[in-house]
Amino acid sequence: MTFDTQNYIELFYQDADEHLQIMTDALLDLERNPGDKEALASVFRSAHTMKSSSAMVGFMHVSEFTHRMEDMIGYLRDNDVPITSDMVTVFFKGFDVLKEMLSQLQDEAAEAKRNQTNHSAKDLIKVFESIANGDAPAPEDGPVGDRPRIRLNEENRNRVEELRLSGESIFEISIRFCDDVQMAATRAFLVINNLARIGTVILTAPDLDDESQSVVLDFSILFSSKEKEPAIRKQAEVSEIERVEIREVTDIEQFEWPHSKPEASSAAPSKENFEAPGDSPALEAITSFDRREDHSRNNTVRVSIEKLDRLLNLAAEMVIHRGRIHEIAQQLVLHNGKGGLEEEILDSITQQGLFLTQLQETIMESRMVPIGMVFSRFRRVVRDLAHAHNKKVNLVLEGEETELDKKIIDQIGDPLMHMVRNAVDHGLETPGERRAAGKSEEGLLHLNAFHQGNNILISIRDDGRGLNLEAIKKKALENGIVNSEEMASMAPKECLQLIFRPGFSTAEQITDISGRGVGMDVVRRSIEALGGSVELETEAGRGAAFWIKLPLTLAIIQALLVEAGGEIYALPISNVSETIRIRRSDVFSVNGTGKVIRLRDDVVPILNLDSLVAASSNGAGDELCYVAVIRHGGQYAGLIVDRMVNEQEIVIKSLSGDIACASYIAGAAILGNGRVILILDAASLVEQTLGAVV
Amino acid sequence: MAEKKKLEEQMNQFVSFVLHGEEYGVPILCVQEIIRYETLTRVPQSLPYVDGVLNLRGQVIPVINLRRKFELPEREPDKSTRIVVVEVQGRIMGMVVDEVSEVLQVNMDEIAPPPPMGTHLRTDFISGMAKMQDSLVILLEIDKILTTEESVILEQTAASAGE
Repeated sequence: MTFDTQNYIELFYQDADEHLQIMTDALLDLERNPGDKEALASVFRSAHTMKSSSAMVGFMHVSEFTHRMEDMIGYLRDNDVPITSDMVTVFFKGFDVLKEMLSQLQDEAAEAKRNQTNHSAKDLIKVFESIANGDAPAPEDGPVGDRPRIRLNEENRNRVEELRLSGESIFEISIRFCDDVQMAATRAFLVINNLARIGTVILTAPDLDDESQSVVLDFSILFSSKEKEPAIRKQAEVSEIERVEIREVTDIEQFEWPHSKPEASSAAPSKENFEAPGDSPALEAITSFDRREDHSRNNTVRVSIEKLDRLLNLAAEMVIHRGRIHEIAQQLVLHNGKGGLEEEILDSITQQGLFLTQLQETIMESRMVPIGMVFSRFRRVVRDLAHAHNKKVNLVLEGEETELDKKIIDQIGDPLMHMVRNAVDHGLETPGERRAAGKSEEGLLHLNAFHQGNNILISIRDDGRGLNLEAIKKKALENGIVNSEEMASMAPKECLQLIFRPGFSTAEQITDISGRGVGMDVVRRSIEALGGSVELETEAGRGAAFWIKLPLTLAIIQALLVEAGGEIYALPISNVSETIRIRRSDVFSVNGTGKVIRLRDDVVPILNLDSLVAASSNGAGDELCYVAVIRHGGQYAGLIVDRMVNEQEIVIKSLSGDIACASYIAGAAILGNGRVILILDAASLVEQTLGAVV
Repeated sequence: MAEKKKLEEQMNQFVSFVLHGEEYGVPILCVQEIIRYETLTRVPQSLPYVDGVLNLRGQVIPVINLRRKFELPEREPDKSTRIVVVEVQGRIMGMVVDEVSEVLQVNMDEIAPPPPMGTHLRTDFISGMAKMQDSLVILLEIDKILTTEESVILEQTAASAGE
């Protein structure tokens, strides 16, 4: 083979994920606005693309499934069928099956599951077909795929009225064949022939006279007869039938009227006919789609994030080395005077520096992806959650185009998901409660992302009941997070922070939605691991807001350089809350080993970086020294250092796995002069400091 | 054929260096480069024979002190001190040596098995002794030196995890 199939398959997976997301988004739009043609067209395009691309890489059952889906969408689109909530649910089930199929393709071992998936796929294909036949999907009762809906047209309707007037009863008979039935169509005819002996078969769904429609496992008959149920049942029961349901129909209005199907050619000129005479609308949509897709395909390439990592790292190194060369050139000019070649070199290097900076920025930009990728996942989640809890939620997404480093995007999803689930589960009230509180029935959940300086701010706001301060206090006391004395001294704002403490969220709180044993402490920790922070505001009865602050990129961080034990160390600036000068006599001992200082009203445990890194301690008595106050997980620690060096950007490098080293070393960086410095891990330092005091 | 011959030649070539007055050799194929000694960045709580880390064209690599590893008396680096950068099993690391002497062409027949005793070195660090005209060169088993290191690390990690 001339091309690498594996590559194609990987591309296929990435494409498939994207298309599933596009379809999910479009359907959510459709649910809000059932007439949105553009949204339906985009679902169609995605299904079509998935059909072809899965066939190309040889996943025939995926292709078959999406093919059926495409047929159904084609019908819905061509006949202007409004999309009902039930249909959206069918679609979502389809997507879930697709997702399962895809994950099982990747996982060779999932044989048993695969059968199950194939089964649900078959069921769904039937539903797709029945929708494509003009039947509305069954609402959420019983397994999907049951009972094709009976629809009446003018003629049938009159017929029903006539028969009824002649004293016959009307029955709806639903028949389900066994899964392994042979010749279902023949059996269906047999049933109808039998029934015709004792009454009139008004219509069947699917229509058995229409040869283009295949008989699936289920079909329904509208039947009229003077006989009663047992006699009818006797006629209807032939072999290989799983079950027969007979229901007397008293009100024929319950049957849906079909949406007027325009006859393909005889109907009044529709919009489509106008735009693309002679072309079927489906074809038109596909060709325009291909054109669009071609356009974007030619302009993008997929690059692995590792390659971008390497590029960024190399560019950063070049920037650093340029600094060195620049310095040397400056010295040359100083030595040999101006006007010579040396000055030209200096000019040229300065010029080069500009390009290098641009290079670095461009590479950084190429790693950026819009946060909309994460946000849009929530639309489905919020919809499902709201349905499950009978809540009405209006999810408003803003700033979806705001870009963040791919690595951050990959890791921010879970914490955000947790907070979104919390907001729907605990934050927003039921429509009844909201009405009682004088609010609109629909709760508002607002996600926003925007730039602020060198950071990205993400807010998650709801207009629900807000956090209950008293409940938080009670819970914190119950779970032994604080004792009552501590509690008494805490300001309300500090009490709110208790929800971020480990152990606050307990098993008791676990619901099927949020909870799950992971609490806000995990959320905070994962955000801080990304160099970010999270804050909380709430007003009882008015709602709550979480603010997440994140750095733009992970590869380069702003760091405070400090000196201790003769070496320079870097502290991520996001972990440094302030730097202060103290006298060594200001340090108090607690419990013999631990040391603390007083910082305004707080007591902050303190650690001497010298003694930590070099097992020596220089300086004593009344000497002034520097303290960098670092924070992690809402806890603070002071770090005594010999000297504050400066603040600068550093490129994070990993220490190669060959050397075991202290847990508080997070990595290394290279300074402009080529020296390697080590990066300190604030989390571990805070832990050690607290450990020494307790 | 010429290629093969060249490779065979290379396999018999060793970079020799001096440590505490004795001559050692490492296979030339695992030596990446030899650089002058420069001040290293110490890494807290690393293994005792790890001198620190070094910036090798943007890569941060660990440097081990062979004198300490071989339990020889320590010595301040001077003008002739070098760092031999080796690559073993895909990992790059530096070794501090007193001075680098030359590239030796060793005839396979002249390599004797490691002596069972009589050296200060653990015999599994030695792949053989090369008898040169006027000296004896200790050929090092770089893999073994690293593997042993690894097991030490593992032991340490296991011990600290057990605490």
